Amino acid sequence: MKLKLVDSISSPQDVRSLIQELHEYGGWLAHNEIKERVGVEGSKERPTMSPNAKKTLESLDNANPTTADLDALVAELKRYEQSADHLTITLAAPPTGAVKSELVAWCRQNITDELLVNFSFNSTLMGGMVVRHGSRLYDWSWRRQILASRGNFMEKLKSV
Amino acid sequence: MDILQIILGINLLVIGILLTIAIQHAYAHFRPPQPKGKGTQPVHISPEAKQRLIENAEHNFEHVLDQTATDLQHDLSSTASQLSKLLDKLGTDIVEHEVARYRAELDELKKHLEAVSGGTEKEFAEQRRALAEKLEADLDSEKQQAVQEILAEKQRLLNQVDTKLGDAVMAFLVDTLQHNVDLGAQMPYLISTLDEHKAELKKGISSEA
Repeated sequence: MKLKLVDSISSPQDVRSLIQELHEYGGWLAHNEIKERVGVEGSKERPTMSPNAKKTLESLDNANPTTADLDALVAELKRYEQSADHLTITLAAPPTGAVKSELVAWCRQNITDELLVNFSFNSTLMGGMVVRHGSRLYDWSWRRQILASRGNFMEKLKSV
Repeated sequence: MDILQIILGINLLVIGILLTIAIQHAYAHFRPPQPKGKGTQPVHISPEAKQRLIENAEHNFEHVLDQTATDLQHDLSSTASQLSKLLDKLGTDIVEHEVARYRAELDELKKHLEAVSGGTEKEFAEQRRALAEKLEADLDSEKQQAVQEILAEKQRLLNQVDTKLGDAVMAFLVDTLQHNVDLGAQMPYLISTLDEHKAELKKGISSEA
């Protein structure tokens, strides 16, 4: 099964939360299946799930997934969490969900499918972003650009 | 041997001869010689003849003595005058010779002194010129060094001012722009930044993998 995570599931914590939710849903589903087998009416009310979990379940081929499907999904999610590349993106302000989704969507479209992104913020960046992958750091913040252009700033000041 | 010494020798010889003659006469006067012969026989002379002989002898002896004394005096005076002339000449010659030698030595010393002083003056002038050149060169180098130090210090201060100004502007920008950051408005910029560095990011991730 090739898993394609929704863009709103960006970080490893999101994946673990999703796994936890799917575990709980799988437990509920298993209970219902047992009840149906023994002829007891099961609970019609599904447990409350987050939008991420709902979207993930919707992405399955089966509209009514079984516990086996859920187990496979959970296993795939665990594998995904272990094998996916991890990025850390630092922005100038706490990012909203939409900002996160858009950035994660771009990364998964342009870099690699299996990618998890941690987000943080540092107001001193002023703008732009700092991307870290392993030991590599890419500083594309406004702060760095202003610092790098310090010499140009003095020349501009003198020419005014 | 000097002339003086020769003359003195001759005078001594003359004096010696005259003294010998005088002694002989005196000896002959006071100790007449005994007549020689076999068995001398006394001659009888009258007292008057004897007295006359004695007086003649005394007169002759006195005459000889006077003559001898006169001759001696004359010889001595001529010898003395010759000696004094010779001494004068000798003294004059010696003095002239010594004066000439002194003057020659003085001239030589003067020439040597002139040569030495001339050389010393020349050497002094040469050393003074060399010292002046060295001093000028040292002053130039010190001046250049001082100018360079001043320029370096000026540049350092200018760099420091630039750095401080840049830091002040940075601090102002950070303090001003770090609040109320709108990420939504920055999204196009963020996406364009990612697009711009897409290759770099892909290469970094694939190499780390």
